[in-house]
Amino acid sequence: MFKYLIAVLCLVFGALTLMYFYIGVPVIYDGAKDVILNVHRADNAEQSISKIYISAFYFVPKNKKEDIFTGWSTTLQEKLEALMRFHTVELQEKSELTYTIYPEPIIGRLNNIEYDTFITQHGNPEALRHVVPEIESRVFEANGDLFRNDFGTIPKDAYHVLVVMYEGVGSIGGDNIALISRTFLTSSEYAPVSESLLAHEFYHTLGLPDAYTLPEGTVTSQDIMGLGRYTPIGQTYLSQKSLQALGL
Amino acid sequence: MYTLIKITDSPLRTRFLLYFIILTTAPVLVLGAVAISLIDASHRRDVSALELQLINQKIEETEKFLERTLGVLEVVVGYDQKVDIELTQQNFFLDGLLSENDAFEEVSFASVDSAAYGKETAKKSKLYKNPELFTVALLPKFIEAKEGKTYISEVYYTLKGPFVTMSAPVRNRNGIIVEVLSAEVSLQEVVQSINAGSIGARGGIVLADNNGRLIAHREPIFASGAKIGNIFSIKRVLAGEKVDALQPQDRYESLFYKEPVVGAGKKMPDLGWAFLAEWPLSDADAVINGVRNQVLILTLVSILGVLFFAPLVASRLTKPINALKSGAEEIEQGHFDKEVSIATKDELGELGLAFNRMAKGLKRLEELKNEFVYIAAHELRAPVTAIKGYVSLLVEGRAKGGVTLEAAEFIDRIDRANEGLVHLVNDLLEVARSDAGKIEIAVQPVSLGAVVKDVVATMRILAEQKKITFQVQGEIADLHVLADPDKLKEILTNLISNAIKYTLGAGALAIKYELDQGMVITHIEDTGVGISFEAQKKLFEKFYRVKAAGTEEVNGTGLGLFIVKQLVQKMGGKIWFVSQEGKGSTFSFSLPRVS
Ligand SMILES: [Zn+2]
Repeated sequence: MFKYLIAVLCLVFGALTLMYFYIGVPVIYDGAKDVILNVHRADNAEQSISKIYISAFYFVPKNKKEDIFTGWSTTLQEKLEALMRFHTVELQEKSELTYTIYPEPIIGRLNNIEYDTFITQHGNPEALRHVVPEIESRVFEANGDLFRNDFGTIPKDAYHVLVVMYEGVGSIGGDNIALISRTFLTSSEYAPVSESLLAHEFYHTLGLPDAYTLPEGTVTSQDIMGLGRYTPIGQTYLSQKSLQALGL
Repeated sequence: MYTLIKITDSPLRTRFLLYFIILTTAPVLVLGAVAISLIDASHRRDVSALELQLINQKIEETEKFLERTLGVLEVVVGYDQKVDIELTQQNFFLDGLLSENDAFEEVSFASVDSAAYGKETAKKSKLYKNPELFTVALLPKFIEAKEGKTYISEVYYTLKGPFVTMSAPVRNRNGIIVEVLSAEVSLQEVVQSINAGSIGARGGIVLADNNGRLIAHREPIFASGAKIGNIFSIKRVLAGEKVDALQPQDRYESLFYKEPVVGAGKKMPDLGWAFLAEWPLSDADAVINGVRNQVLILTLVSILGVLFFAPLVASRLTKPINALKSGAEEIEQGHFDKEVSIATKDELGELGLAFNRMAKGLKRLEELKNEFVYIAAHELRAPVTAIKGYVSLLVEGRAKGGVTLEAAEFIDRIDRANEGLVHLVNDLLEVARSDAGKIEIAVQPVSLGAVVKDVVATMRILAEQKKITFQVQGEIADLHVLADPDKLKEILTNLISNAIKYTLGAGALAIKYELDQGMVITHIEDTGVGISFEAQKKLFEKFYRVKAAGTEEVNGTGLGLFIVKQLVQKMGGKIWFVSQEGKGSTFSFSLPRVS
């Protein structure tokens, strides 16, 4: 008979336990997972840009030595800091940007006439053609005259970008290199938008194309690749289309 | 191997207990479960309603903000102008717009005139003076507005937070579009509205744009503009799924709170922005969990109460039945005076009263019977004694001769039969007296040894006839007991004659004494037929006679041991026996010792 009693008691307390654990207890849906996004170059999905490393230079043609802007290092640093802030927000913290500035201005082996083109409407592809190989050979090659042990070690997995503040005319961005005239960064005329101009050239190095027509200059986007390059960095942005191209 | 006993075979009390527990706990459990389920369901609906209400409110606030802001841009100029508004007027107007609207960061006019089609004619920014003017003919903000539509761009995210571009046509009095007016509009007001929206202590709203990027959330887990469209809950809202806090997937581990939440969401009709309310379950269910625990505790306490009271109730229910049972047992023992007391006023109480009436009736019957027996025995004694006298005379006559041999034999038979009758009448009288409490006993110190000696002397002949050896324990010096000498003699005679009667053939009989705490116990041992287990129970009852093989010839009234027991008890002693069938019996009785 006690078996019955014990069975009944077990049933009663079993029922209570079931009630405690199952009735009115929320079931948490299991499947709400985040998706990890991979940011990459706009024109090359294989090239990750989750880490970007900028080597920044002040490049002065040989005949412009007396024009050297004394506060160049601070200015360059300020602009790069602004770029970093902008990049962090726009890339939604998915791309980490770091930079180092080469401590000395690099005095070019040639005069400005050799680096510049007169038509700067298309940026200054001439400068890229001459300035970049010079920096690469003099700074990054072990036998270069400006090679330093404490500079030029690019972190592993990082996408390497050269940013050149150029003591000359024009600005242009291409594969891995963004060049911008020092004037854009220091003259009061461009002061409100100087950082945006630098950022514009920088985003070319990530493979984003211009968003305006040539030669009319009609903008096709309001973001930094179009109209936004002439908007203060605090007010400009990367459009959804640009971000999509970068994998966001 | 377990074997289950049939429930109906178990004691009534246990059955009551079991049924009681089942019948009381089952409804309590069901009620508890139903109560919790109902409370939970109602709570879920409340949560859903709360979240959806907040979402609707926030959608409404957002829509109003956008509508209001767009309304500011929809300008009608007060003249029949067909070409561009004068530049100074444009600049003046733009300055006014900027200063009067916190949300506007930058405003500009663009021309629809064919000469300067799509060119920005005037532009004002809160950030800097003299912004560069561009040709915006290809931008959707211009294309839409010059078609007469208002335009709101997708959300973009700057260092200063989320923005949208808005544009609207400027019309003249005749409704002709003369300019396109556009503005960069900060969504800070929307952000604040979202951040201010709360449910409970910690619940809040996530607002994502149609591209799944975060516009606002009060927990700064993700940065403004962060892509959250891949997060399961946001994805569901953006996909237009029903997310109302009632679906199975609406309780999930939130990436915003890093804990389980209940979520409800809605998509804003025009822009497709996703509003998702999330409420941590630890907060949302705090009260309901308290209620739930209370219900559970109440259920548990009720059940424990049932388990505590069930045995009491079962006892109460079975108590009268047990009382009736023991009452019936008393009657079986012949005790008619014991009343059954059942305090209830129900059928059981009535049964108890009926039972007592029955007992009284039985007692009366017993008294009538005893009276009858007494009277009958008393009335019989005179004729039987007379017969005995005359038979004695006849026997004497036979001795003198004058009676035929045949007649003498008849007389002998009559004498023996009459002797039995005398014995029976005496026994009956004694029983009747005992039943009526009329046995008169006068106790006095008596030498037990002397009485035994006396009885043994009369019995020895009988024993010797049956070849039964007689052994009496050596006398204990000066062994006096408090007894009625005649009755003591009767007791001993009865017990010893029984021992002789029920010893078939040769055997041994022993009488022994024992002292025990002021009592003297007399043992009468025989090697007779013994008493069966069945018979042992009824041995001292009236008219009970042992039926054993070989004892059919034994004479007796079945009253001897009954009388003996009455006598011993009246003299303040006890009588008992130990017996084994086939091996003999020992009858023992105790009497108070006189020191
Ligand atoms: Zn460009």
